[in-house]
Amino acid sequence: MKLSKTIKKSAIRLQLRAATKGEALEELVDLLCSAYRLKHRKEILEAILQREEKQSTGVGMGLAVPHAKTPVVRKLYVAFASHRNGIDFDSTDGEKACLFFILVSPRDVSGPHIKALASISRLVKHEEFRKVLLSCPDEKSFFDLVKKAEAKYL
Amino acid sequence: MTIRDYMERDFLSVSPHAPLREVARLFFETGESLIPVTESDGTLVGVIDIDDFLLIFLPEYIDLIRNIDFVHDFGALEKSSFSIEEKLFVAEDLMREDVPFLDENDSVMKAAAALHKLDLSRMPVVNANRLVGMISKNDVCRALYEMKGEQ
Repeated sequence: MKLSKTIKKSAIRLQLRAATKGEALEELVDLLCSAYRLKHRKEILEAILQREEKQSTGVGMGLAVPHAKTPVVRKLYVAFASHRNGIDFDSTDGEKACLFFILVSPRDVSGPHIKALASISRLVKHEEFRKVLLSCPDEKSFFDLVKKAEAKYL
Repeated sequence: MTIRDYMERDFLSVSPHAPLREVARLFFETGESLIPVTESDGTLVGVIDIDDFLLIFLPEYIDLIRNIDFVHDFGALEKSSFSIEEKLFVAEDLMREDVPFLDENDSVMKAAAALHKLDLSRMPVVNANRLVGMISKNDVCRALYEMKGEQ
């Protein structure tokens, strides 16, 4: 799945303000809801928190991918954010998370959710991609970088 | 002939929290292509299809090409580590929740019809929402084999 075609420009925030994992999750859900005009913020946040309880989505290498399936959305929605100093996200390697992809999708369809997570993992495996993403100056550069990486790694 | 008499009772299932590696282990150990997901009290919450599991590791372009002989870099795909995926996915993330199921008191021929119509190799069997067995096309064949015909 091409993230460059799935993520809306307004669903990118290059400087999160959050200082804790809880604040980051709230800010990411706010970003997702405002970019795609999603109602049910409370339910989406609840689904994200419940999924996080099962296993932290702080996957290490400075990356976190909070995600959940919820009946309150009709399709897959993805947002991206970064944080200059990083946030403690209960990552397995103990490293702070600086790059965040958040996604929600409906409960009754599994394909797009799996494909989006698979695309993210395939891209972020590459250290070079993570580095350039972290130093990304604006939304346009984000799309250019992601498109370039998708052509190379997907 | 009721499903109860022919279903497989010795089945394996995973919890929604189960890690990806556990899901992989169950697929190869059971040889099945559909694994039920249950809560700790046995309530059926979904199933994982082996194709959804493999989807994680196959590149997007596989669906776009007609002949896989044109792909020369499968070796490169195998070199890719499993590390991020196993931190990113738990069983629940792969699970299909709109899962068709049968009641253990349903007839075997209803199972045969459902398996055929839905193009499934096996289906969960429940009793009051709790998973009590799995029934497959092979189980249906056993029921038909054992059926006494009129002489």
